[in-house]
Amino acid sequence: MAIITLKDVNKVYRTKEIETLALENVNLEIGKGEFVSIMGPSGCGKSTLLNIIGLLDVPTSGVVDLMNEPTERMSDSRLSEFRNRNIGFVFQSFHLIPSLNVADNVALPLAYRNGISAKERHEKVEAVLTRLGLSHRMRHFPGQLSGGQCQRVAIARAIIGDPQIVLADEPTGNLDSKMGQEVMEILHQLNKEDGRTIVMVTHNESQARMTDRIIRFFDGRQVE
Amino acid sequence: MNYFKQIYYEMKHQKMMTWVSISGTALAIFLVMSFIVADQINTVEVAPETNRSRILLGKGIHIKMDSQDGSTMGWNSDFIKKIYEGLEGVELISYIRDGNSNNTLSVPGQEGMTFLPKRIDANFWKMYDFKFIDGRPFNQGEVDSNAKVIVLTRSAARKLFGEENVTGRTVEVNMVDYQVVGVVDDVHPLMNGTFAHFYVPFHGADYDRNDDPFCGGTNVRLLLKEGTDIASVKKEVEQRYQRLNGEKAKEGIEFIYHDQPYTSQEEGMSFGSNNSPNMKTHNTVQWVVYAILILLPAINLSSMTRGRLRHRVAEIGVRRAFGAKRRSIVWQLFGENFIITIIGGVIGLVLSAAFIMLASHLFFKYYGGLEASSLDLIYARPSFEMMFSWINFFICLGFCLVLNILSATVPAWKASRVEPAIALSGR
Repeated sequence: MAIITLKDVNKVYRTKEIETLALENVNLEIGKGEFVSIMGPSGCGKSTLLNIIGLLDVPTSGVVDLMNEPTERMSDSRLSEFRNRNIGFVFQSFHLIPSLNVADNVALPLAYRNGISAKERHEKVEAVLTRLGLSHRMRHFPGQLSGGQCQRVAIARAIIGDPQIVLADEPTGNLDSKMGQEVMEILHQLNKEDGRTIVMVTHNESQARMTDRIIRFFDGRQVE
Repeated sequence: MNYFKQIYYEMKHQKMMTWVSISGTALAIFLVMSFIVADQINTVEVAPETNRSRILLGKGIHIKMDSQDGSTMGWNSDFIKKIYEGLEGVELISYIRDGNSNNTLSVPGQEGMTFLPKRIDANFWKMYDFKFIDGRPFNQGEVDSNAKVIVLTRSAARKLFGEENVTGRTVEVNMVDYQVVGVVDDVHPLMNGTFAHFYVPFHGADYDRNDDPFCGGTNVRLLLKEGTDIASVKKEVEQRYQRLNGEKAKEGIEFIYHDQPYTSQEEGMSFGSNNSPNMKTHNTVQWVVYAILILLPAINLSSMTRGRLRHRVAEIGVRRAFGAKRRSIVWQLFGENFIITIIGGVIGLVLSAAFIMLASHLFFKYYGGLEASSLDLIYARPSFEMMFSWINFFICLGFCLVLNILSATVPAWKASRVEPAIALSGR
């Protein structure tokens, strides 16, 4: 059963002088529990696709359905709620908030969710950080962590709200091979043990081959 | 999210921007609050003047006779009753002599010293909140019988007798013996209605002018009942004057009442004896000045807030990605900015109070002091409780809110409108 469906999706970036076609007629179905890699050269539209799937950007035309729910008519407020409940993001440059400590960074999605007490929030943070081997770093700030640790914190933040979909944009791009391997193992664990659907943009062929499916892009078009 | 924790770390991260913002806020609040605190001294309710908002002053009478202008002076002790007795909404009337003219006091075996008197009736003690440290106030019977009784302030008692418990002792006032019936705590010189070094009964008839049925030496203070509309009391006084003017028109007499009786704010304003306080102009000018003093820094602070946010575009993108709604972003930025504004505001308030203390000669003056010879000009420093009243605190808070809204609205709104994908890319 498809959890992510894109039909005839186009994305055009317009400026006064120029029109750039970032995505052209993309049709895609990703099943529940699948681990999918998206590959292609720089500028081919991989990140744009991920942003559209993550409801961070809207397509110029076409339809995006997530969890069988059409998203094109969702208000900005509803989109925020949907992201909060169902989608977790892992970014290449981690995007941790430097002025918040590890615990507060991880708890960020819960801060925008109603009905969670401070105690419950703390318990969830502790649980997810323990799972990722970072419970001893709760009070540290991002600036005090290594790249691998930062990315593990970012993964903890992505999954603390228990989303069904995790979108990872080159999650190992800023890490050395050992740390990159660690991060990949965690993502596979989230996929296999938790049954989360993972869509990962990567340039790394060997990492991509370890996923269920590879979707290749070139100049905004899906070529494989 | 814990705003306080976040703002603390943000302040640490962007030290320069933070201190410029706090300094800008402090300067704006300092400028505005210097004016306001100085103005509030006239209305702040501090003992013994804890009922200032309910007390009105009948300062004097201004008469034109056959179109020839006279000057404003006190009333004849009988005539004043026609104007002020029986007014709707008045709880107490106190007839007093409001002028400043030092008297010489002495005790046997010592040289005389000059002190500032207040001549009052018994209602005066009920109208104000004096703290008696010895003895009692004099009563109306003693006032009516022109009894030679006196209430001293603590400092005057010490100066004259070397101690405070002097009830029953005798002191000479302008060569006449008076018996001390009580000693009150000192009154701050900026408490216009009550400040004096000693209090003696006021016998209005003694100050009436033989050939003048209207003028004399009597002034009046009115304590209004709780909830009484000051405008309605003024209106009733105006109607009484109009009626009198109608009666006296044939004799070529015109009474000009100059919007009396005055509130403590009007009383504190500087205006000539034959002029009326123009509160409307005064208030308009004040608010225009406040608006300029707030608006100019607000524009600068707004630019600084935008500058601060430019460093946080990606953070806003992350928050939006993880579910922050636009209004959450706006509230967060308002909240953070408000904390900075409050820190600046408190610094500004303290600076304004310090400035007023150090530069009190620019703001406050009064005549007569214990150490001074007759009618020397004295500069008074307001007390701590006069400057740090709750009213001033809430006014300061109000201005901080206004400054926050003016400086954060545009940056916060713009930040919340950035698309998450664009914000995440740091653009």
